[in-house]
Amino acid sequence: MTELQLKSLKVHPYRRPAIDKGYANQSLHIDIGTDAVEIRPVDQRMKDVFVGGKGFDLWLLWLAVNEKTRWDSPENGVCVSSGPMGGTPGYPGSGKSIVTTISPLTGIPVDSNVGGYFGPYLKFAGFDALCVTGDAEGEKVVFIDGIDEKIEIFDAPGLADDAYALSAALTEHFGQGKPVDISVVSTGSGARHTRWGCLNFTWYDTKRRRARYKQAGRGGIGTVFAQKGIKALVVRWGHVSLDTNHPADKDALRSVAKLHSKEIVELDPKQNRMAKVGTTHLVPIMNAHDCLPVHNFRYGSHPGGNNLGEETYEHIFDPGFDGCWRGCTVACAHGVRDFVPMTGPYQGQRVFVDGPEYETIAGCGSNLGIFDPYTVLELNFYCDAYGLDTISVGTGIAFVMECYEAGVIDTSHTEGLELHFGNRLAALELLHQMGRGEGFGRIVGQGIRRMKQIFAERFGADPAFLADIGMESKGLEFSEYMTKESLAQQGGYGLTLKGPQHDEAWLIFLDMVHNFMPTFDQKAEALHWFPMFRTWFSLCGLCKLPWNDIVPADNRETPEPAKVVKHVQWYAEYFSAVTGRQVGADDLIVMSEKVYNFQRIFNLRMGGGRRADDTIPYRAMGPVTEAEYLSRQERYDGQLVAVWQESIEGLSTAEKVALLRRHREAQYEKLKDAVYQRRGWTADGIPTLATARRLGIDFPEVVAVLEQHGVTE
Amino acid sequence: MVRIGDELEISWTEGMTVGDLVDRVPGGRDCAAVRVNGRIVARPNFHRTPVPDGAQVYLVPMIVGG
Ligand code: SF4
Repeated sequence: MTELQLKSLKVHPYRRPAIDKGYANQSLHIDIGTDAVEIRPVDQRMKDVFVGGKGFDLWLLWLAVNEKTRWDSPENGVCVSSGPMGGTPGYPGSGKSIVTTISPLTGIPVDSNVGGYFGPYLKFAGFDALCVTGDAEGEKVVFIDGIDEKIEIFDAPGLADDAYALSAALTEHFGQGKPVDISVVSTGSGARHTRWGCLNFTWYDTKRRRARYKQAGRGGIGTVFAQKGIKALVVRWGHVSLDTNHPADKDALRSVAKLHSKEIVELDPKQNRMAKVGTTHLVPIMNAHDCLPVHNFRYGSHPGGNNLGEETYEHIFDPGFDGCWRGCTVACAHGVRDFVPMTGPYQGQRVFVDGPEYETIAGCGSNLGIFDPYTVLELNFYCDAYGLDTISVGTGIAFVMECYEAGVIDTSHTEGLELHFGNRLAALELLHQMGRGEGFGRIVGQGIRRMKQIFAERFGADPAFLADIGMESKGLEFSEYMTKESLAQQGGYGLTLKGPQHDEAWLIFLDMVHNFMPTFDQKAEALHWFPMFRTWFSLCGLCKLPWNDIVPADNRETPEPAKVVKHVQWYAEYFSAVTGRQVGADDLIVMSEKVYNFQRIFNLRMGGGRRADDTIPYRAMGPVTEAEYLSRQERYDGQLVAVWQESIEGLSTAEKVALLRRHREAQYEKLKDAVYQRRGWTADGIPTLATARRLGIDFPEVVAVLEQHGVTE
Repeated sequence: MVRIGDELEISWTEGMTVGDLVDRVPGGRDCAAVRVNGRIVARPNFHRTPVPDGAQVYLVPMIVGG
């Protein structure tokens, strides 16, 4: 056992309940400031309305905070939960944890769905959900020992700051010779110095004999974690089998799990090959379709883009069967062995990098004008080590680089960094500054929304230009898809709960390539159904990739191929088999609707959740600059004439940019109207009372929030 | 001969492109990418990518990923 300086502050023994049909039926509440530990029951109503996972997190968070709570208020919670199916070995993608908090970027709840073993182990240790509130003096480690049935809180001064060294040490220390029994949640130094902190969730890779990592990246959850003085959460659990979750119908579970698992093994090698290349296959496809963000989302393709795709990374990844939960046959969680960084604290040393995935490649690669796969690896590695979200880092630095090239900022503002697109060393140095809390990195790490304010107020920049090119909405940086030619995906980013993350709706290809939804009503229907179904995965402790990244061979012959209905049906059977609650495919949507609308009302309670909050920058809709317009002139000229019946003879480029903008902005507003109506919301984007009633979320405190905001019908 | 998926085979012709091929295959017109001997070819490149004789082609049904 590694000797660590851990001083026990509190030991709380407890009796572990038997898991029953996917639930432990209790939640764990820890005040990290006072070391108070409380165990509360999870009742049937909570299960009926909130299901689990993100639903449980949001309910516990709602109870913990009030309308004045800020991200750094002691009562803000960091909530973690898996879900009733979380921890099922053998059904692909069944080991997810969902984390929520009030975000330092957006001021409203943010949720992140993450792999690793923590959520399932937490449940098997006896808790469907964990909510940590309070502020510690110094730094503390919480150890939830499901084997010895105790919760222990330690004072933990002097532990390693970077996520890799810290998790390795804690895994060894608490594993008592069985590191696979341990999962650690931690962040890194960058989380303290920025609003982009992520959480690293571990699982132990027995083949490589090391802790591996997945990130709850979005929304600065790691920043809240660090601000509270939580150094790490550690959970210990032992053997896992199909019985551990005590499903209601084990035979039915086994047979549906086998069907899905077998299909993936058979079809993945013929489709996306995720077991070999992860999500890197997306890079050349996006690049060819003009959807890979390049130079701060100005352009959608680049000749260097294919250097960052599967043909490169397949050779760099360390081969192996890499699932982030046991028995996931998609096995897409790849990594790189013996990478040697050229900069920073690990310069010249061999390290293991978990990743990169598509988002990191596009964000820290093409969007920065960096087409060298090894620099992307290094940015990936240090983001993880510093506990920083690769998506916000990528999109944030891309914004800074455009500002630099446009002359909005110069070296007097960046403290000497020449932040041209493609300047690999400058991008890395900026990242190290965020890790150290120094220099221009301190400003950049505040996020695009605050940078826009700082650049305008202190550096005299034009706020309108910054608003157009700063790729954030609700305060959260965009994830890495170009949406200019897909109105539905503009809605997929803008009409979301937490901000522009594609996990709610990814409609680019359906809209743009397949033209499945030409009308506003069809788009609105898609922006209802897809966010609802995708939400459902986060209620249950599941990964969405097995749903539609590998599809049945006969899928295109089904009435609605976009929904992959055969899999939707399997998920309904899976849910019924675990929980004993017999459901059909449509019931899954209603489950999600309850939580989705509750979260929207939660946003309202925290000061967001209205039409104005669903605004997106014009860069997401169309060309901001003349250079962008001219780069795709044929397309834009053609649209002005054919779609909008404009006469463009004799118009200057600037006039055509303005004309196109008028049409595209109007379209987006029209889309909002259609989507709000489909979702049962007011024109201001608030769920109506009738919607809350229909869904059974009309608790007095929810109705009170609606009434305070003028919604009485 | 070109093999599409596991069952279908069609005759190869000199100068055949992925574009020619997907036009002749059920579901080909809907797909955003194919794999030709394992390599990804995306729709915008279909008509400029030759298909070699004896190739194994799979349609990549990427519709709502991400
Ligand atoms: S599909 Fe990939 S990310 Fe999802 S659970 Fe499986 S290995 Fe993890």
